[in-house]
Amino acid sequence: MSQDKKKTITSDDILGKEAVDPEGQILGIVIKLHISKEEKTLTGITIDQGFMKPDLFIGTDHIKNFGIDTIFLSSVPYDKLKGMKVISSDGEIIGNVEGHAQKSQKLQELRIKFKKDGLFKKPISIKVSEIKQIGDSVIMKPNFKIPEQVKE
Amino acid sequence: MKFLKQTVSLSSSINSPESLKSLRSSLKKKVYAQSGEKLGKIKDLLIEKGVLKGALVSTRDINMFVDKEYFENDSEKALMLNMDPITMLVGKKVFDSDGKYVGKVKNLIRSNNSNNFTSIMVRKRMFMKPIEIHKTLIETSKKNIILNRTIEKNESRQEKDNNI
Repeated sequence: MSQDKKKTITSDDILGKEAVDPEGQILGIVIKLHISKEEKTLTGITIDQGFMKPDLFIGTDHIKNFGIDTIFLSSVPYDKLKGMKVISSDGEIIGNVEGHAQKSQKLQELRIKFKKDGLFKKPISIKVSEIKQIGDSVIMKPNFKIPEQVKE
Repeated sequence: MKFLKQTVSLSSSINSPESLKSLRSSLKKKVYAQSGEKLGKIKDLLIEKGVLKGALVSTRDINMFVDKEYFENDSEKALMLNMDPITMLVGKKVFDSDGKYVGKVKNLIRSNNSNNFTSIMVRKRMFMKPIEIHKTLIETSKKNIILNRTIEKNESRQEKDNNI
């Protein structure tokens, strides 16, 4: 059985490599390969995101290419937003991201735990249209008002 | 701005100085880049002929003068900038389009003092000569840098030859 070495890679070429999303963020190290028993094809990879973070499963649909030193992903896994700080347009830290909702790989909402009197309240869903920028933190638009439920 | 003692105004145009903004209250205010990354704190505010020109921001590694043209919003809590300073690129990892690790950004080549650069100097290991990568080869420069093409071996080998 011959293998075309240029077109074939092995588990050694994937495991232990860093997984990088389209923003250049290193999500973690690939620790597992998932293979379909019936079709004998790769279905995804598991990434170890580090201490105190859950492992992340990425389906092959979201893998752009298996690079020399890294695995490039084709889409941003929005799970990485969990725990991110939420800042008002004035620069005040108003909460943390608890979760998200997406549709067809497009981010729709963020579930945010707002802070009041130093305590985090129950998460509230906020539409993406109210967000100015998502980078190292989530920055809200200037006209964003903290929901009434949080002020109670 | 509040005054503890009584304040007497000696001005033909300003009746209530309490309504003016104090520069001192801006010192040590947090400064955020457009991406939401906290850059540092305001160390000083610089003026010329009585007009505010910008802020001296103290970051972890350097002091940075930020012209007020880059101020997005200056509130009581923080100073928000309308851009991500190019200095944030230093230290970021660089990968080529084949996923090959090229190195880390050691410094930037700039043609002037604006928030712009022409090239990045990237070094893979200590004692290796950095390679220059032009800005046009950069596909993404957010969390780290991804290039839009591969970096050939001979470009990296140039580092070794120069060291002999």
